[in-house]
This record gives sequence, structure tokens and C-alpha cells, in this order.
Amino acid sequence: MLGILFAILATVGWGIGAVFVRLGVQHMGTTTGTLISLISGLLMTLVVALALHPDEMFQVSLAAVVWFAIAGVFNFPLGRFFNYLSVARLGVARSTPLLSTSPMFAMAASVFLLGEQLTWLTALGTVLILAGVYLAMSERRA
Amino acid sequence: MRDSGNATGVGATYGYLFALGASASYGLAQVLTRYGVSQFASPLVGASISLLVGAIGLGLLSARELLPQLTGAGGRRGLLLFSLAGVTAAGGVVMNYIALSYAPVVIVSPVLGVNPLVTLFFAAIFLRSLERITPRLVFGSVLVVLGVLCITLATALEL
Repeated sequence: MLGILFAILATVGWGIGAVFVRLGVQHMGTTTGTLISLISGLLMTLVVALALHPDEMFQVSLAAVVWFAIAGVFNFPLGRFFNYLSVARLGVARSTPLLSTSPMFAMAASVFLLGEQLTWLTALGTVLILAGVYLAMSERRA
Repeated sequence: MRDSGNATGVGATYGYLFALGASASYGLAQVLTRYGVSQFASPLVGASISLLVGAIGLGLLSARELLPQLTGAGGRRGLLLFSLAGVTAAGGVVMNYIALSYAPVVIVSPVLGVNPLVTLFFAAIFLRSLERITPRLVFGSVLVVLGVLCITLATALEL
């Protein structure tokens, strides 16, 4: 039950975050806004990480730093910046369905990079996502 | 006022491309993070490193425009809103990790997968004057949610 409760809180956090971004892009450029969100997010994550894993934070291996730095480049300067750019142009409603398709790309990367198998359920999921993306992209502004 | 969020034509096409680019970047980062968490460090430590590198990289690229933006019109409001966006996004990540510590992926992932509908719900409430939520967008989001559920469950259950 606690797991479901925290998962709901996570989705609430992300949902409200999208609203803040939509309001923020009306007052500030996307690049600066992305940087500010990264700094505030970093401060919060650091506090929690230091509280929960104090020893590990100061004993991180070089391999871990390099690996998570590469993941960070894809996640933040690229992923979040493009995310905010799309919200600035399309709004939350039109960008949300497309921004939610990352598991499809993760699945494709797993198949091509890690050699994982494509199953009937992942194929069905891909078809459903593409249909949803088509519907969102064919939406016309009034 | 800056971006309207109501782009049409070429502006909208760029918006869709940015959204798909963001999604592809997040997808690749997910694969890298999944491997990194299994080999090198716990998720929160990894997230801290990733956020630090992201902030330094983007800070170097945008240092010149930071001060003018902060001191310009709407700078304080933008600072507050984007700070809250960063905190709520990071809060979501922390809650996600805590959820996974209490329940297996097969329970947590379907709840997280509903995120697009939760976002549309909040947009409908708080962005009523800025956003138009149409049945077509809701139905498209429902299809995306169902597709994401299929993929996450297939991965979690190895189906």
C-alpha cells in the first residue's frame, strides 16, 4: 500500500511540475529555466541522497561518476531542455502524450544496445503508443 | 510574455520534434541509468551525479544569459516557477525510488505509467486559461498510457 501511495505522489509531483514549467516559460527563457530547475532539483536530491546514503556519496567510484555523467547528459541538458522547449511551443496538453513515450525508446535502445528480445506485448505497446502520438499530433489548435 | 504554448505550423512541428527528442533522450538515459544502478551506485547517488553534470554543462552553455534573464522583466517569477518545477520533478524521482523500496516494479510501474493523465488533470485545473484539453488529446494520452503499461509490464514480468 505504501508503495502505491508513494508512486501516486511521484506522478502528482511530475504533473504539478509540468504546470510550473508551463507557467515559467511565459516569464523566462527555456535555457535559463532548465538550468534553474536543474539546480533546485540537484539541491533537493543531494539533501535526500546525503541523508539516506552518506557513506556512499563520498566513496563513489570513478566508473560510477563517468557512467552517470553520460546518463546525465542525455537526461538533463538534452532531455529536460527539449522537454521544456516542447512545452513552450505546444503547451502541456499537446506535449504530454509525446513526452510520455520514453519507455518505447528505452525498449528500442535495450533491443539494439543490450540485445534484449522484442516480445508480442512490447510490440502491442509500441503500436498503442504510436496511435496515441498520431492522435495528439493531429490535434489542431482552435 | 515569452512563449505562448499555442504554436501552429512550423512552430508546432518543432515542438513535436523537441518532445520526441526529449523522449528519446529520456529513453536512452533510462537504459544507461538502469545499467549504472545495477553495477555502480544506488539510484539517488546516481541521480545526484547526473543532475550535477547536467547543471554544470548547461550552466557553462547559458552562463551569459543567466544574469540578464534573472534581472529582466518577470525574472523573479520565472526563478520561482522553474525552481518549483525542479523541486517537484526531483521530488517525483525521490518518491519513485521510495515507492520501489516498498513495492515491486510490477506494482509501481502501472501507477507511474498513468502520469500523462495526471498531468492532463492538473493542466485542466490550473491552466484552464492557457490550455485546451480536447477529447482527442485525452484519448491519445490514454492510448500512450496503455502502450507504456504494456512495455513496462513486459519488461518487469519478462513476458
